[in-house]
Order: sequence, then structure tokens, then C-alpha cells
Amino acid sequence: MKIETRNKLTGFSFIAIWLIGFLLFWAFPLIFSFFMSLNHVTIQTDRLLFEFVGLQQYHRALFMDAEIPNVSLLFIAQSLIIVPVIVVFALIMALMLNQKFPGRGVARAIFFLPVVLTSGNLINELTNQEQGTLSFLQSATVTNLVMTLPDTWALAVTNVLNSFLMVLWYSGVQMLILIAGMQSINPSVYEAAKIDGANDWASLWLITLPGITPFIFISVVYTVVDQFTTPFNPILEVILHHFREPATGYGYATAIAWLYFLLILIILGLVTLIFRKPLGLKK
Amino acid sequence: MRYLRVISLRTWIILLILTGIAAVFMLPVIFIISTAFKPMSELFLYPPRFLVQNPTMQNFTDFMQAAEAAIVPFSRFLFNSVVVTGASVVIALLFSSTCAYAFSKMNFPGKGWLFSMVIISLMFAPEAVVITRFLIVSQLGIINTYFGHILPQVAVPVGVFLMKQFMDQIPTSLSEAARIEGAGEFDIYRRIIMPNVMPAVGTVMIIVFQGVWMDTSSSVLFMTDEAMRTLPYFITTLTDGVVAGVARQGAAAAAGLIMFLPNFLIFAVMQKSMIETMVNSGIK
Repeated sequence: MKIETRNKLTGFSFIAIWLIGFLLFWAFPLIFSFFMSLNHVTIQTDRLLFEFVGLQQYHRALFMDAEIPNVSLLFIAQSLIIVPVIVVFALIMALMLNQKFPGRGVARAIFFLPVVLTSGNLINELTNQEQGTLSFLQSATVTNLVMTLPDTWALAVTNVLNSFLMVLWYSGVQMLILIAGMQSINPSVYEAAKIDGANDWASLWLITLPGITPFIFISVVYTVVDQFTTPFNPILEVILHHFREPATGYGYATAIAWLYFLLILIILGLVTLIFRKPLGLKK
Repeated sequence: MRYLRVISLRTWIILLILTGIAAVFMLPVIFIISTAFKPMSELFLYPPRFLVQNPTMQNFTDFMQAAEAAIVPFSRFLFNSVVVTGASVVIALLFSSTCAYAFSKMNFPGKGWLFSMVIISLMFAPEAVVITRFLIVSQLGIINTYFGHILPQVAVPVGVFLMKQFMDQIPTSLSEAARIEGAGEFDIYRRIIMPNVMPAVGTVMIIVFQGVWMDTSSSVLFMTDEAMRTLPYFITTLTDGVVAGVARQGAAAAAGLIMFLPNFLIFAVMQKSMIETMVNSGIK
């Protein structure tokens, strides 16, 4: 056997089993959902009925359904603010947690905690328990503190607190990625810079940040994907609503899902474009 | 205490900020624990209180009673959950890491195209593929089997994505050197690559564990036999119906804490080993 063929075979053997699972439970459902988006789907007790309608459902979602552009525009605006905030917050936290100080192990443990908490269901449980968003913020102590402020300010403060908590909770994985990135930089580089007279501030901008650019990129991508697939996402709610609605049905819901997917794709494309230069992807 | 004296002003500032934010981070955990011990009167109190005033074990007694009253014994749900979660985590980690290795360090036809598919499925709304998955699971004939729980969890795209990105950061010279020394691909994967991507392994493990341990959808969609369903499903049934919805609110709060504990434990164990390997990693 030629070495080249053998290499190819070893390559395939490493992905074979994963690939089967992936094709069955991810790739095929994806392709099938595209087929459904071109059809009007009716669910009957023992089977699904398909009636081919072409791009009609896409047309309807884009130009006739007032709800979709409204919800998505609001959500994009919100994401534009929250994604950079999450990444910058994770970066600052990672920088602090990467310093040497007593109790660093415990501190890191506490700050990775959101990784356990944000994964969908638990945070849902938390918000559902007493109806309304992050209800424990309305608990006596916090409310009393906020109530001493004028009304409009009280609302603003509650909102900021609400979103601040969200930012904290959605930055766990990113912190982990960034700390790992910082640890991948050779410590002797810092020593060399120190000998050459660079202070900590200069080291941060000239060594740490350029060194972890690939990890910052991963964090941004992860944050965008995370934000767009969280159970709180209003667009997912619209999609779920249409799943249950017999008049529009599965076909229409999958058409929205595909449009939504294109939107995420465009946003990630823009992110890659921004990172192209620092990552050295430019050709 | 000599150690404390030598730490600088900067360290003190960092400690102060971290303590402040850490307090906020702990809030949800404290909330889960405190809610589990709230008596009925406090669970429905408006405005709700953050901390429990008169802690009681009543919720746990209620939970045990509800568990005994169920048609399928509670231990069966627990057993199902442990089997399904354990198997899913092990299988998913093994296959995602080998796959990530192939994507990162090997060449095979269709590689770029396949990885684009991984990225695409990462971004796709999971709700949109539910129906097709159901069709596939029923076609495979694995409805009401443990395979029905486990197989759909095996190919997690996020696992492959995270691990591949970490492996990309390991210099190719490292694996090339091993190859010249005569190491096989599997040796390189096991001895050189894996020890260096432990942070990613830990993260993926936590993500998969969470996803499977708290998941109710495979119980609802792929299982018709009550005895094959898992713990989180049982907990959602606790508060089914109007009467039980109110009366069992306490039991549900206790169940919330019981479900949360394994999450917390696995996290505590994993994060320690993750930090240690990060410090000892050979990349830097």
C-alpha cells in the first residue's frame, strides 16, 4: 500500500465513528430540514404530508411577517452590545486570574462556576422558579436598595444589574479559553521584555494580546454562537411558536430557522473579516 | 502570615475586585440551595425573598414521598440517568477528540468540506432538526433503548470545534518530531496532543455532562416506556397538573438542588485537574 493511501486511511479511521453519528444526527437532519422548508408540512397521526411550495415560505418570512424583522433587529442590536462586553469582561477576568496571588485556585474555581450554571436548563429553572426574569433580583434586599432611587433610575439600575449578571454567567467558557491562551505564551518572552525595560502595561499590549489573538477569535465565535442558540433567544421562540402552529407548520418554522442560520453565518463572516489581519489569514 | 506581608498593592486591588465579583457569581448557587430549604409559605411569598427565613427539611420529605408514589421506582430513573450520562460523556469525549485530532493534524480528502459542516451544525437552531432526529431514531429501531438516549449525543459539534481549535495551537513541529522518532498516529494523539489540550477536554466534558444530565428531550421524544426515561423527566412530572403544580412546588425545589449537586461535583473535580494540567502543559 502506498504511504499516501495509508495516511488517508488512518485519517479516516480517526473520524469514522464520529462521522457516522454526525451524518445521522446532524448533517442529514440539516439537509432534510432544508427540504422541509421548501414544503408545506402537515403532521398526520402516522406520517408527514409534504406539499411542495418552493421559496414561498422564505418570501413570506422575509417580506410579509412583521414579527420576524422586528424581533431579529432588536436581537442583533442587543448582541452587538453584549458580545464585545462578554469577551472584554472575560479577557479582563482572565488577565486577573492569570496573576499570581494567594487563593488563586479557589478564585478560578468560583469564576468557572458559570460554566456549570449557564448551560440552558439550570438557568431556565432558576428564572422559572418564581416567574419573571432573574426573580431573585427583586428580592427584599436588592429591591430596597434600588427603591431608594428615583423611578426611572431604579428601572435602569435593575436592567443593568440584570444584564450584568447575564454577562457574568455567559463568560465562563471564554475565560477558560483565554486563560489557556495566556498560559501558552512562553514566560521567557516576558522576562526578555522586562530586561529590555518594558513595563507590565507594554507587555500586555505587545506580548499578551498579540499572543492570544487566536484564542480571542475562538472566544468571539463561541460567544456569538452561544448568544444565538441560547434558550432565551427571542428568534428561537418565534421558530418554536410556528412549529406548534398548524396553519404555518413545520415547513414555515424551518424556513425561518434557515434564514436565521444565514444571519448567524453573515455575522460570523464579519467577525472573521475583522480578525483576518491580526490572525494573519490575509493572502 | 509572612506571605501576606510581601504581596503588593496591585495584588490587594486584584483580590478586592475578584472578591466583589465572586460574591455575585455565588448568588445563583446560594439561591438554589436556599430555595430547597424554604417552607411553602416562603416559596410563594411576594415579593420573593432571596434567603430562606425558617429553613425546613419538609421539601426533601415531600420529594421522597413523591418518588415513592411514582409508578416507576425513583431508583430506576436515577439508574437510567447515570448509565446514559456516563456512557454519553465517555463516548462523546473519545470520538470528538480523535476526530478533532484528525481535523487538526492529519490530511484526508474532504477535510475542509467536512469541517464546514461541523461549523454549520454548530450554528443551526437545534429545534429545527428535532423531527428528523425522531424519524432517524425510530428508523434505527432504538426507541426505548439506551442507544436512543446516547447515540444522538455522541457527535457533539461543539466538542470537536473547541478541541480542534486548541490542538491547532500546538506546534506541528512537536508531532512531526514524534513521527520521525517512529511514533504512530495513535501514540501522538494519546501521548503528545491529549495531555496538551486538557483544558479543552475538561470544558467539553462539562458541557456534554450538563447537556445530557439535565436533558428531558430524549426522554420525551425517543422513549414511550416510562421505565426508560431519566431523572430530569421525572422531576418535570412532579409539578404536572394544577394541584400538584402548587402542592409539589417544595418537592421540585428540593429536586432542583439534588439535580444540581452532581453538576457541581463534576465541575469541582474537573476544574482542579484542568488548572494543574494547564500549568504543567508542555506548549509554553
